[in-house]
Amino acid sequence: MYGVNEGVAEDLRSGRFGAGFSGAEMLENSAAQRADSPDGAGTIGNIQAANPYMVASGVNVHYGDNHAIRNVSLEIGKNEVIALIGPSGCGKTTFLRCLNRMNDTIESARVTGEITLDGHEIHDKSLDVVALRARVGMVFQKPNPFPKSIYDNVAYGPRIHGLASTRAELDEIVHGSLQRAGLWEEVKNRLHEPGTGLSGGQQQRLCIARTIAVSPEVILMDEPCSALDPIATARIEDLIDELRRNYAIVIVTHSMQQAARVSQRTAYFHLGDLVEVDATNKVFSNPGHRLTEDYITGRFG
Amino acid sequence: MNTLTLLTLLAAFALGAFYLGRRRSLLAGGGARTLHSLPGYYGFYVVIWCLIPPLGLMLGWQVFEPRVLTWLIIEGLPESMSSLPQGPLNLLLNDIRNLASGDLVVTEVSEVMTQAADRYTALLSSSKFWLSTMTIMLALAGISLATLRITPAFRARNKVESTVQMILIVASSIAILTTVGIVFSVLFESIRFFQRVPLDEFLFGLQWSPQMAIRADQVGSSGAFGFIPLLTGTLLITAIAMVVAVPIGLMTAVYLTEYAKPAFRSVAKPLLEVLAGIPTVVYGFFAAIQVAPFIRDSGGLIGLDVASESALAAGIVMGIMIIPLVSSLSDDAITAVPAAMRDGSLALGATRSETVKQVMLPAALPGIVGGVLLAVSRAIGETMIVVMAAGLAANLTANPLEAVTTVTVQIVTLLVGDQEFDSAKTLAAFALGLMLFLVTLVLNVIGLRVVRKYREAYE
Ligand SMILES: Nc1ncnc2c1ncn2[C@@H]1O[C@H](COP(=O)(O)OP(=O)(O)OP(=O)(O)O)[C@@H](O)[C@H]1O
Ligand SMILES: [Mg+2]
Repeated sequence: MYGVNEGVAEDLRSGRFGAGFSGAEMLENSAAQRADSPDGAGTIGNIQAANPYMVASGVNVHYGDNHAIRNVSLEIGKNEVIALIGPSGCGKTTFLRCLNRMNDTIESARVTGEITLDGHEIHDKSLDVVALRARVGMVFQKPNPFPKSIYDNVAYGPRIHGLASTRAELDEIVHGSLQRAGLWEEVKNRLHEPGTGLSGGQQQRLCIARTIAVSPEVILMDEPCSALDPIATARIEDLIDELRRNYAIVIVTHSMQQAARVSQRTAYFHLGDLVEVDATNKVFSNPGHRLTEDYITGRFG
Repeated sequence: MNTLTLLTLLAAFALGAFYLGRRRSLLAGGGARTLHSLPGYYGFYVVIWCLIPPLGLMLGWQVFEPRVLTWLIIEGLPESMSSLPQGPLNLLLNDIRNLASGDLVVTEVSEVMTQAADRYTALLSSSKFWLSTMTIMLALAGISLATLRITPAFRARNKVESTVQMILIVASSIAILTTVGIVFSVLFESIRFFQRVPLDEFLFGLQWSPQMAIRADQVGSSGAFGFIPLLTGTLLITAIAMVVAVPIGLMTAVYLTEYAKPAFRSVAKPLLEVLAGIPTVVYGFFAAIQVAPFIRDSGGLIGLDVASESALAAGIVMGIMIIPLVSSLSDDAITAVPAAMRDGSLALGATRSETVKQVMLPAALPGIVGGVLLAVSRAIGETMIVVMAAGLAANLTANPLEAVTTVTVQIVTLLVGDQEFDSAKTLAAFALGLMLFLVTLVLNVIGLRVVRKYREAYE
């Protein structure tokens, strides 16, 4: 996967994409020029979701001087899974973190643009960031269980939000969440051992269980399966499919097959630009953009 | 030749040896490529041979010269003098040495003594001569032998590295041996103390008044060496100090790591460290002159009888002194918790304070506990503030408003002024020192263990 950016940059500089290829020219243009263009004008395909729940328009993220996300507009629909794909460092994680305002915790990050959740602007004073994060849950790229017991890891969210009034209810939430994350069988006899003592893949499923335990409306998953074996991956994919019935799901993945299997729509990011969004089968069978095509056919590097 | 000249000469030799070794290695083979090691290593190899044997010789000379000389002088004395008992013999030898160096002499100078002094001077100068000659010869021999051994296949790097390793081992054992030496000297003096005062009387006695009778008929000064009042005094002051330092230090650390803007943090941290750099004697008079009278006066206002030197004053000021220690160790412990923990908690919709209370502090707890234990041993060992603000009265009390005294303060008072070196009073200081050492040792071991366990948690 390395050398992807270089290869493309090289192609862009030498104009090897040919004259009839507007996307390449667009990417070559300076960021300043692009900021003037209307929302999503640089993106080909269709940014709209059938049943939009979160809507990002004209989102820019700067880390200090580094313009990490350039004018991205994208709708995230209820009852569907959208996959974010693209080469390493293209801004997938950064975009994901905008959606539950986790970028607030990064000192150098500056987010501009509009993002609404169910019609309400998430940066608005009236919407509490704590409440937002309870509604928009996130599974991180690297598993990060708390140094607490497995049980307490899952019970953490329900406890702080007061979701269970009795011990039995809490037990039920923990059990259900672990079950759905496909971890229950492995940990049912060691619920009170530390979560950090699990294997990497088990930790990741624990983090997924922890996230779904607070029943968020939108779930952001940053490469949730990168540390999992095929069996656990299949479980998670089944879970995602099941969660889709009630929730909106955004998943970042480096696996084309996974994107094709679990998502209804796919968005391709490239060096901070949202290059193309469309129905997954359209993107994979008939990509509209040369960069997308090169990426999904593995022609980079 | 005096020692300084000799050392300078050796340094010059070493410089020469380096270039010689280096050049020789380059000339020996067909250039640097054929050599086993880099040319510099051959230089250092020769330097090692040029320096270490002569330095060893000088050190040995330093150690054995006085003994050998003394022995030679005694041998040369007439039977009547050399068979004197230890004490007078030492005095005599001292006089002879003084005579030789032209200093004042206590006793009458006899013919024999003048002769002995002359012999001493002669021996001294020939000893110097032989030392210089042998040192220089050893250095030159070392240089030539080492240079001759250099061939392209010679493994100079390995030799140099193992020598460096030896030097490192010697350096680290110096620190260890010093500690062991101190411990043993304290231990032996304590044993002498316990021969006079029974161990159980010391450990469980409730009375501390180390005045011994100077004359046999003196009344009321038999001396009592009960350790308990000192221990309780120490613990009382330490507890007060911890009550002040731990909450404030911990809250400071939480604020600085979790809430403060980087700009504020970059100002506040160095300021706190300045607080740690204030000499304890300054805290001491702050306690004695500002805090103690303030406590006495405000106690008076609400009808409390407060001693002008109180455990409370000393404890509070000591706590202030320890705040930076607690806050910077807790700060390190909290900062060492991976940011992913915080993110994980925040992403579940926890507030900052929930995150701090339920994730960051528990994760950092072992480190914080380790830091607090280190602070406790610092408080137990602290002397100056207590000397100045808590008084000298060995009261057995748990009332923080009374004057108490601590182990360290008593060690100071026992040893201040003229002392006989084998009275129970003086030896008691060593016994107290041993107790102090044991208590802080145990605390440090616990602290280090906790800290180590905590390190494993995230690796
Ligand atoms: N905390 C941060 N501070 C500064 N720059 C950052 C930070 N996080 C990300 N970046 C920069 O933003 C850009 C996008 O990073 P991001 O993590 O979003 O990439 P990604 O698409 O998730 O990559 P990957 O597939 O490797 O996870 C990169 O250039 C990265 O260096
Ligand atoms: Mg990422």
